[in-house]
Amino acid sequence: MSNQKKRIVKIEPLKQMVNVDSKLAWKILEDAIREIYNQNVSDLSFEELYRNAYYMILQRFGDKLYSGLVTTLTKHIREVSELIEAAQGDLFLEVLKRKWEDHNKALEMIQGILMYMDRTFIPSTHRTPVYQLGLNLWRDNIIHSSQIQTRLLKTLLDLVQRDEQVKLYLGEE
Amino acid sequence: MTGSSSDSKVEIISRLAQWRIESFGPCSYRRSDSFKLGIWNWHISIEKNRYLYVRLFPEPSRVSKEQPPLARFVLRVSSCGPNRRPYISPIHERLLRTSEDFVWPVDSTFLGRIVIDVEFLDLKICQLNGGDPISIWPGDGATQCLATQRTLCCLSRMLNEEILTDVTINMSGGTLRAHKAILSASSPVFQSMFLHDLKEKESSMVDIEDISVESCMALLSYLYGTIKQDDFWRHRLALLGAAHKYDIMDLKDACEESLLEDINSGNVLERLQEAWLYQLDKLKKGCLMYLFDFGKIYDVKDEIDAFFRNADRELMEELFHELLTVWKPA
Repeated sequence: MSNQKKRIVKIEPLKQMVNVDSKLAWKILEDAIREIYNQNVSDLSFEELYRNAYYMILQRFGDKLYSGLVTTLTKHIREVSELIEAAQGDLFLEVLKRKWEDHNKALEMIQGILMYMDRTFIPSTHRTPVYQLGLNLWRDNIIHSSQIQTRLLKTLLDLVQRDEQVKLYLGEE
Repeated sequence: MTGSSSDSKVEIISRLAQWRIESFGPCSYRRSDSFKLGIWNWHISIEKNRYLYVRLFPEPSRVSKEQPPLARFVLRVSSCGPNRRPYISPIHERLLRTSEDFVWPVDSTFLGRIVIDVEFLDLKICQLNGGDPISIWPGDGATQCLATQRTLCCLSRMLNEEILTDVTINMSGGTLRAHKAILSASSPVFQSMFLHDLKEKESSMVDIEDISVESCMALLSYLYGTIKQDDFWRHRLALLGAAHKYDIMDLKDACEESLLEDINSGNVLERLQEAWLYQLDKLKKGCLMYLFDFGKIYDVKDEIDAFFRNADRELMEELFHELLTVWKPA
């Protein structure tokens, strides 16, 4: 009997090793994603973030991690959307471009931290990979936002027109 | 024997073999001593008849039978008499197995000293299984082998003498020094870790909580190519975890193979759990086969209760599914 007890105990450490508090793990990741968008990353530990995401997936909290990611990214992108909408006049394109570049850089980091989810959970549950998800959310919330879409189109057309006028003017000279 | 006198010897330099025959003597047939070129021992023979017949062939042996040479070569026969121009053969390319495979007749009116040159332009090992012949030049195999050994030696020194290390790995039990480049080349996770401007890149420190110093050293020695078999064996569970976490596929496969090798009733449930956790299909199949097809589930029936209480639901479903497939009502 004592021998059998030992064998049962052997299984336990494995379970404990994987045992992370999924709420705490997600809190750490959520805060980190915010800091990444705030470009405040030098204090973030890649290993710690990767480990938390890794154990969340290993412990079958993939759904929680993925839906949390979608919510957080969406929330952030909507905030960005408001900022872009609020930009006045010529600043509009500038803000849009800067936010787009920030978004891309942030996505690359998030993709790195959540690499394990991209490798296992996402293919097995047929979901959209992290980077593509970020691009889709940007498209749906910013490019397709009625305000931004109209304004973007108008601004670009204005620029083209201004460019044409300058060419005409120079040509006449 | 005709090949015993001192002028039977063939001198070789690089790819050129030269047989200097002082005098033909009374015989009509001479065979040179064997000379080694490539992986074969060769002979040249000459036979005086209406013509002078020159033959080139490998010594009959296992090598020449199983890996016969495909030779591209030029022969030249010259004598030192006045007004004698050397006979130069065209370039031949022949599979040479026996003395019958190549004969070159030359005008036989030689007197006195004869010099026979064989210049090998290429020597290939003929593959009996029909594969392409492999040239023995340049001797890639040996050079590559040497280079590999040397590289391993360098890597081993880099790790053990901490040569120009640029990252510190902190674990609860101690620290180890390594190289970002080696870690990054081995694992996409480390590559991403040192690419982005997060803490690790700036501080050149990584805090890894879920590995012991000994297991981490085993991991590093695997990545640096210097791991010893017993270290691998002792740390293979930890190595499996690390390989899975850091996406080092070859190490993960090696661990899985190793764990498959010693399944027994004492560890099969634990192995099954590992296989489930790390998605090791081969190991999982092995464990299920051991339990059900080979009926060893009866040996572990006391432990299986506890296992069922703790195991993942999906794993349980799979277990029952397997049980139903194997179960044949009497």
